[in-house]
Amino acid sequence: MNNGDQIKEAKVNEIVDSIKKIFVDEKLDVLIGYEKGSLPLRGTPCFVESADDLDRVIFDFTCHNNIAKYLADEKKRPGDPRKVGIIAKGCDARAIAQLIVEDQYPREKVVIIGVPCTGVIDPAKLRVALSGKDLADYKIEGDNIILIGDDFKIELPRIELLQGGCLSCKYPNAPQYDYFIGEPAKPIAARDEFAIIEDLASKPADERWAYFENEYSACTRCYACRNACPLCYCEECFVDRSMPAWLGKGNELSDNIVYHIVRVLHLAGRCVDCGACAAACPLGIDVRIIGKRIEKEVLDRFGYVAGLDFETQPALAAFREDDKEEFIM
Amino acid sequence: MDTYKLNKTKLGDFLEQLAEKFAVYAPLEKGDITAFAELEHGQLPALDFLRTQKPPKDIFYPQTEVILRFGKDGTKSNEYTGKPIAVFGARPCDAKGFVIVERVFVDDKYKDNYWLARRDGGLVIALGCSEPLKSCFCNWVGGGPFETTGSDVLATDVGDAFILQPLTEAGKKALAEMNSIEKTVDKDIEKAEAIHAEALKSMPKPPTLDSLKTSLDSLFDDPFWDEFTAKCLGCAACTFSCPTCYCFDIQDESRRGEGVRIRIWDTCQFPLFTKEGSGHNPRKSQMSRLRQRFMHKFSYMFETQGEFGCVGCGRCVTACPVNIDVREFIRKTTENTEK
Repeated sequence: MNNGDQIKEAKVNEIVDSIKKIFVDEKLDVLIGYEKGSLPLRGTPCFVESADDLDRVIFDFTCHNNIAKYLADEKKRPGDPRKVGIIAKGCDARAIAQLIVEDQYPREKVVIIGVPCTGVIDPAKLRVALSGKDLADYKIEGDNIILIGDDFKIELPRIELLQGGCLSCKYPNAPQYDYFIGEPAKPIAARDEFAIIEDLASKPADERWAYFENEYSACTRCYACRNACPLCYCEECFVDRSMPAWLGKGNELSDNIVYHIVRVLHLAGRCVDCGACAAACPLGIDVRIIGKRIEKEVLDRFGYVAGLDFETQPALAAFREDDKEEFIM
Repeated sequence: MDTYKLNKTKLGDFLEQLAEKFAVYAPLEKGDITAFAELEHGQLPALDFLRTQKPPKDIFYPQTEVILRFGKDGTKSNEYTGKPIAVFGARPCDAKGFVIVERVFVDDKYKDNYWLARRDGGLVIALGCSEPLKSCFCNWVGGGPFETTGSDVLATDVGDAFILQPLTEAGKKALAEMNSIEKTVDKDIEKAEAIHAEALKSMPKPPTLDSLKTSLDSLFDDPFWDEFTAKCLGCAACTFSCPTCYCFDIQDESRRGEGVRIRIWDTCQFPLFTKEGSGHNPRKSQMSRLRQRFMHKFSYMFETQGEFGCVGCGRCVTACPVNIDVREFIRKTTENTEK
């Protein structure tokens, strides 16, 4: 019943040999990467603690999860920090850099293995395209992908299956890495990253409210968005506070909106727009949009982009004399 | 019992008539999501949906329900007081889920008035699955694409019509009163039965789960749990998508001059679920929490209810952000015993 077995790989997994060498040379305790998942065209995170076990590691456009999240989890393990190798798309690597800047893991204990990314599949979009059917094979022909099943053949532009953020991603390759396997990828550049924000901002207030009301009334407060995020690593999240409670715990609209707004505010200047939040949502709510608005604000005010190096202090963690203060003066 | 045929052109009339006595809930499309909601006058359901993301248990057991209102005028219990509820288009797995969840809310000793206020006098018209999804595995856990447990009427889509089979007195009574349906002929029944057989045949052969419970009980301390649960995010995507999950929390909130006590869905996947007043947490690791989910569904509920607490709907399989697959879990734990 392993759908992955039925899919013939377009090309042989090229990275395993390189990873094996890195694992041994760097004396890694664990390699955090991806392996074939159980659903069509779906990679899934894996943790490999022995060089002999690395043959199952893959990297391709099915590997959408942001596995930098597991570096934040490593910190919570008892004992000394392990030597961790992580396969990193551009967004994953930026999250790793941001975690290191925020002192969440010692730099010398992380081995960043950059891989080129030309966008990753959004599982929800694939599910809609396949209508629950089984995938036997797929082909890439130019800009199109052809999904092949027992009784169907669907051809569509590859970018229609990708996560929204991938279309405007400016950092497909790790800005900081210890190793880079393969040729750096070019950004897809299918649209401007803030186009959606500007489009929404141009609408009248009641239309914007109707949009948010529609999106967030479906939220079921599963916190998949928060838990998938590499930068949401607080031991105790504000949603779990009582005395005082900041918001209600049910899924009333006002509580849902408070949760989402406060979460993105807590990520201001820290979010790398990997899209893990939106991809994790079981209801397909586009939770990236409000985060994107905050990202634009931080960029405009402070000229800061998260996760590009290990030195620059995050915008909200440092003060410069020329910071705009028009809201208090 | 007589079986009936409802031509699809008459579906609107059928639902209109149903709405005279019942509040009718059916699947409706909302963007890429399909969800059960109350049909408005003249509204037709979206029936070529595959599987709703949220299970229809929230019709009888809402995610957030005000159960008490209190203020300077006293305290008042807040049960549902609307029309009896008819669900049209639940899948057989969903209908079976109602039965499993109800065992928790209603037994010889305890009767949950909030559940009963919504469930009593209700009607479940299930729509069987002619084309089970690849992530469906109802036939592993004693179910099937045209399973009847929990339904008052089972509907089979035969192309231009639905064949309606009443299964309970309530179903029989409801259909006997409907104007927009006609009695079936043998040809109709044969067509429906062929579809039932084809649907079951299209599903992969299930593994034997006879010894799943005993395997799990013996594997409680096995190190395989660490590896299997390592990627779990600890969110509630699986539990909030599950037709048989029932755990809840009770919160008091102050709202605009009055107080409300609300019952909300809770999840064993959150650390707060078992955190005690002393600060001690018996399930401190995500491994212990995810293990709890599987043990509960496949061992403990088997013990207390006599069947698995899983209807094989496959929602958790597609909802899990990191592709933790309960089917893989079942295979892993039964493969040793199958040898």
